[in-house]
Amino acid sequence: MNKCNPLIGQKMREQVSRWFTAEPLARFTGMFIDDKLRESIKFGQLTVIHYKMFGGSGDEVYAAAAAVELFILASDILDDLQDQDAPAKPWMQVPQSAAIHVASSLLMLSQQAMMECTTDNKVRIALAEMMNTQLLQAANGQMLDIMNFAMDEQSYLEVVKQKSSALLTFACMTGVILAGQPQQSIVADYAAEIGTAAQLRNDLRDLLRWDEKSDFLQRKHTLLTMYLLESLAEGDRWILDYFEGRLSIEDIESNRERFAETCERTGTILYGSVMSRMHYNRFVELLDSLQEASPWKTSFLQILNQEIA
Amino acid sequence: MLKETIRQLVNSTEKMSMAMGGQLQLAGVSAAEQKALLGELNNKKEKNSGYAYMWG
Repeated sequence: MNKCNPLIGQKMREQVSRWFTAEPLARFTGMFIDDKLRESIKFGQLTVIHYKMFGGSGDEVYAAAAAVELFILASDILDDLQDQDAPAKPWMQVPQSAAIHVASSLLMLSQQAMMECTTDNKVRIALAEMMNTQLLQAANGQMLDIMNFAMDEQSYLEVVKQKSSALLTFACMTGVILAGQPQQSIVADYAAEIGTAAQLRNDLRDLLRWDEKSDFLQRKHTLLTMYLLESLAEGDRWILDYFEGRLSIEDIESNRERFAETCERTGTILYGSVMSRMHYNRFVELLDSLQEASPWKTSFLQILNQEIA
Repeated sequence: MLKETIRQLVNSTEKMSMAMGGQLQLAGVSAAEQKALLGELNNKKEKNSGYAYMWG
């Protein structure tokens, strides 16, 4: 599926050239797209593969995949601006007001690109309705995540479903609808499983790191930090004291190895791996039950197992 | 129950060895949880390094 990346990139740039007539807007956006294309455009690839799975055969899908990726780029920029934890990214190296403006302009451009990807008005309306529904759901999930809202396992999984799974559903369902098919509930179901599996895998990575993206140092509620706090031995009391604000980061900054050892000893890492794998297994079961997916399964799994930046 | 099972496994090398060999009865753990747990334990055994972040 990697061979479709240049086509998706080309369509993204065409939209920018057409609609971003202000030179700085076009220039900054071009820089940001270049960075995006050097990494992963798996959401656009998911659009393309679903279009083919459900009988689509034209080139219009690359324009739709570009619309999806323009939204994902806007979302990445806003996420990094909110978290302030990705200083190497080009959008963190321009004036913040410019980065915010590019991101909000990309949100509109993605809508416009989606409207232009087909001349069939019925399909266009179905795409717009689905896009707005999924992206509003993702907006709710992102807000709950920013506010560290989830206080128990069930509410955390709900936030993940809203935040991560809605974007995956958006990418997959764009391909389904553009191929002329109605929305498929099984696609939404397996997209939710992929989103949850991927988020839990990211949570594992972010639990063990020891920098500004560390979920522990940021006192973030995730499935794993919640499990860890429930599993502490008497000698691990400092972890709870830090998480609840009784110790500062200066008090614990030399404890990285102790923390990693506690995560291993309590089974926190194993628990996260098992939960991620369980959702991935469920996705594969659902995919196997979908007849249309059979010839595409290998390519689908390859897209998902590309390294996430 | 999965959480309790994992706590028991990490606290007992004997139980962990039995689970990795597929010889431990995992009461109260659903079939889906059991499949994922054994998948991760086998992955660890084969790679002999931390639990997998990737599924492949």
